[in-house]
Amino acid sequence: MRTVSAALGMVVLVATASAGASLTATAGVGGAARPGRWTPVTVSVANPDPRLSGHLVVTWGDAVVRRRLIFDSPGTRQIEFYLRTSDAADRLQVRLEGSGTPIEIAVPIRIVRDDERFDLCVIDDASAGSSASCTASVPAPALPASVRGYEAVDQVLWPLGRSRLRPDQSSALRQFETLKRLNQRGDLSLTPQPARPTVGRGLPTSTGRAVLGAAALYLSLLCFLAWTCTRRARPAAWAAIGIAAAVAAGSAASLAVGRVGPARAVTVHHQSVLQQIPGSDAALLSMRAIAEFPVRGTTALRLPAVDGVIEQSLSRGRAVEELDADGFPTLDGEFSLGARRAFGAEAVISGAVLTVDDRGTSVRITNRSPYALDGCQLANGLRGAAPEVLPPGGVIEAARIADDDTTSEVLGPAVLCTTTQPAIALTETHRPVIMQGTTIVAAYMTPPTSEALP
Amino acid sequence: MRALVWRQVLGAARLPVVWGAVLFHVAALVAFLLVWGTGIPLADARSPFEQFASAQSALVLLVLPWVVARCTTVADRDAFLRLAVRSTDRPAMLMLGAGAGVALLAIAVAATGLPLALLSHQISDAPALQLMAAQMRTAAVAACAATLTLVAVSASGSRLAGWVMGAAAATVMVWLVPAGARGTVLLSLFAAVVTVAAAQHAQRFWQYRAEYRA
Repeated sequence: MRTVSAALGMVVLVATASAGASLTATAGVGGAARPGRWTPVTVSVANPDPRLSGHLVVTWGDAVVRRRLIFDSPGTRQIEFYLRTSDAADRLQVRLEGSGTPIEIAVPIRIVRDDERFDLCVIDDASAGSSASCTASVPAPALPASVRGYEAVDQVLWPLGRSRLRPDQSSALRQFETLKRLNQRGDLSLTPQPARPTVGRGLPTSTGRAVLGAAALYLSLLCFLAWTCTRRARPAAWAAIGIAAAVAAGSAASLAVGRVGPARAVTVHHQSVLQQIPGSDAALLSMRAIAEFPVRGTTALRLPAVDGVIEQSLSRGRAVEELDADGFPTLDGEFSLGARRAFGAEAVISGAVLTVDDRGTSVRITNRSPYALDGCQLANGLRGAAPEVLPPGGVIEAARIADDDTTSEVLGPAVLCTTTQPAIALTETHRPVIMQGTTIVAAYMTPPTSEALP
Repeated sequence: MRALVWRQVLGAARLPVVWGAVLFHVAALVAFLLVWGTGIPLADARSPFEQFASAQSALVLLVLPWVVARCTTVADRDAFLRLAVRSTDRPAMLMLGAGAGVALLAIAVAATGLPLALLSHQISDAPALQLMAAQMRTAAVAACAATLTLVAVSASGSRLAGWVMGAAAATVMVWLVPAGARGTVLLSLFAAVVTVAAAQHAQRFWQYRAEYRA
């Protein structure tokens, strides 16, 4: 029965516009998903026209993903989205909004309850049968290319033996298995979560300084005018022309606020946690941030990580993700001078900051990043002298605490360090972005592979 | 007539009190922007720009009656008479010139808040039409406050009493008149009507005094 419903979930729906593009889509891992967990949605857009410009919008419950789509020539493109919603419905909508009539299709998805196991079976191709113990089945080429795609899955099974995978799929699967073991040991739940940064009321500091500068210039002009009009005999029109000129100059200075000088930068206040995945070069980034926009107009902040998301909370609990034409998550819109916008970001990024070398009774922790790390703390179960500041290339030598011929268990991150350097800096096309805040780097011991998944 | 208006404006422009008022007005608006630029807490029902526009009108009502009371020449009735005799202008024309002059001066002082209004407008992301409407209303409030104070000073013959009466009358007037374009037009018309009425009264009241003194 499960296999039948999984097969139903894999049904590919096709919609074609009366003239122009057509859409096909699949949703979920093997057609199944869990509420509140990342769910892959693969959309294929076939465009026969020489040019197509529009948006691809995927809606599932209260989650919306919107991606800019540009075709400069006829062709077919496959796009992978990730959505999560607690308001999971049994179908999601995929819509192509272009210059012509919008095309919309509904894609069925099977919801796996939280108290239900999710065993994903990998089969050679869609036509092959699978074991009745599989919650869902998926052909090897359709496995997710991101570790986020496995968030709903409890276990990946290979009833017909392991198949060859693409490097990105293979890497994602290894990361999933490592994270699953870390989660079962309780290491992930012992990792601190990022808190929303706090900023004071009123104008952002940089905007306030710019306003003060423009106001000082204007007041200086008025003071000069007052001095010349009251102390010296001037032609009759002097005061009138002077006032008009001062107001014009002050207005120009007002309009220049946020457009010139250091105040033209977008400031992002953030609290981030970077969880390194043992045995891989990748890390999970969780960020909570508040962006301050320096000028009235359109601004688009970009997270330079394709395997990532920027989530904005809108009214009535709706979560909206925006992606640009290259698939990078963006936070864009029309903002006013000094406007603030809170958002959360998650990404899988490459590059190890800390390496943990487990040598049995001793552990060697090395800072591989080009910047210094502060306030490093070792986990319970490890003993060693963590320096106040760990410079680039610096090493912490730690030993497992031994008790009656047994070494103690290291629970949680082996080491937690803090840095003011962002793990990933957001960008904007027309203005610089200043990242302010702290990043907590968490590095774990490699979980033993002998701990089999249940 | 134009010479009379210019005389009033240029005479005022040489007075430190006028420039002090201009600087106070601008500095207060800067302080408002820096402290409550994104809106006053507990007053979130109105946009930051609407709050700024209200603050600008309140400042105009606070500052301008005092400026007008200090710089107008109608407080000194003897001087007014001497001017009428020397210039051979009718008292009505002198009063009209003084009214137009103080209204122009008040609008100029109020206009010095425009750069700060532009900033608040950008902070609020308000439409350009709202900025124009707010500035026109502020100008109308300024003109109304100035002409009412002029009449009050002229009627009482005392700058202090005129300032108090003018400020109070202007405040009541602004409170009574509805917001929006209709209110702006009403305030402007009221300022014009008050000036014309004061001129007519001056013509009747001063004409014989002028002849008697002459």
